[in-house]
Amino acid sequence: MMIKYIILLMSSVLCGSLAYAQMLSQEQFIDEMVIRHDFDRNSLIKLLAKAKVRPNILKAIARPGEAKPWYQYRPLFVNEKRIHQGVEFWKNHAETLARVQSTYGVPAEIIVAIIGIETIYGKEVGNFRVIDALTTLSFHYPPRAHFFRDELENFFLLCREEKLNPLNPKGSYAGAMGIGQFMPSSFRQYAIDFDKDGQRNIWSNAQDVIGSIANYLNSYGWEVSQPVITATQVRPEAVNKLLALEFKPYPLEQLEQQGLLFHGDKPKNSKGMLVDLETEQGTAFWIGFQNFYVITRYNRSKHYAMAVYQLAQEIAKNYVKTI
Amino acid sequence: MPWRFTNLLKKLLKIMSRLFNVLCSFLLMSLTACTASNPKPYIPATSSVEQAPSPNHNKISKTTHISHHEIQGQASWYALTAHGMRTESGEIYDLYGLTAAHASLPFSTPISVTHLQTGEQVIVTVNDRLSEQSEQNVLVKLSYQAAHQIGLLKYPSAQVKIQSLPRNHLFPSRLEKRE
Repeated sequence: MMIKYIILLMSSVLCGSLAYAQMLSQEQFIDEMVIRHDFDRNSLIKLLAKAKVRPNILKAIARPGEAKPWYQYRPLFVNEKRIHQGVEFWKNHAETLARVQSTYGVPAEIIVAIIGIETIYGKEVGNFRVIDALTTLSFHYPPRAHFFRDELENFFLLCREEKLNPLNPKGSYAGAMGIGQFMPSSFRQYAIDFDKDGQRNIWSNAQDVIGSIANYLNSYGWEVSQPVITATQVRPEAVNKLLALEFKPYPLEQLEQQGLLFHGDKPKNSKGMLVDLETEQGTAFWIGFQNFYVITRYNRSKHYAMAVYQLAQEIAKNYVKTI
Repeated sequence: MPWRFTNLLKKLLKIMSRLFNVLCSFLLMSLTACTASNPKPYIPATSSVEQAPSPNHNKISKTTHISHHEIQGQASWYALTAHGMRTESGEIYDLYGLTAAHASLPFSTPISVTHLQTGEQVIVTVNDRLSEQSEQNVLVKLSYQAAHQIGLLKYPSAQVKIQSLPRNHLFPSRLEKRE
């Protein structure tokens, strides 16, 4: 009987201290914003009091990734509807896309494809208030608290820089914002005011979105007029070892020594990464070059990057028929 | 009598379809300034790689000429093992590409391929050669994606009809340099 009471007492003390620890962390956050960035303490306290904890965000982030095989993932993004809408988007923003192509060397169809996959060309940009998403994940999700806390800091800074009310911007359940789904840290580093109207607006200004995505890819090392990815063969006994390498490009000579059988034209000193995709015929291989790797910097998924590339090819093919 | 009437109708349809085909071939020829009046198969005069028709090509058992520029026959598709191999044109075969192997059509020729059972059509670019020994009875071998699009995987034994298209049908020349 006594033991039950002791356990009850100890667990309530524990809960209380955990809650205290969480509150302390929000207090710490406010402290840091005040000291580092000269924010007004009372304003921040009032603002954070208005932020709401969203249980469905916690559910979404804890859900294990569905990990569809490639041949089921592909038709979700590389389909007639998205191709057709991509062509329309290109036609509506042809001038900006051409300007961005000459400024940054990133092909128009790659930018269009990214926008198509991220938000269906701006149709689905997320319905959560960014402040809710980031406070929920910073202070109520320990596994990634550090990452989201940094994003929250960047979010307040960008709102101040762009003169936005922090309660207004909307985004995904993880705080990805606007037509290109930029995280606040990426916004602050790579978003640009491409039409020079005095504001970096990635929520409703297509020119800024297009320019920002191009700037992002360029900054991550997009190589002008270089291939993205090419089909390849691999020695069967070398597959596992090559796939165990880090998810980044290696010198092709090194990969060939390890069993890559690439029959395509190789630019000198080129680097690549082995990409395996499950097709309806079985596992097929590609060699992703630097530009493929750059697309994965937008979203660290080989499925995502391949879908961007293939959607881009289809959009480009269909776009030329219309001009 | 009913059978005489249907016979007449058939003759009329035959004449009309012949007229239509002649009209089409005139249009096609004028589009590509083809000087030689070669009824079979259609090879654009602007092609840079002239291939002599392979000995297989006129075997009646393999192909049927439907008209001046349409050919009907058996289609196959590439196995997975071909993915990543170099084709005869030098391009790398990618199972997601829309490409095809043909006995003689010049590389970069676009051809429309229509599945005669499903009615589905795809436009592919010729970039490879059929094997003379093992693919004697095949008119065209398609990339996996092309075969998938026209329902060839579901109905592999049905025939297809192919038709050559003008070189610039798919891409204006500036796009060929794209990556």
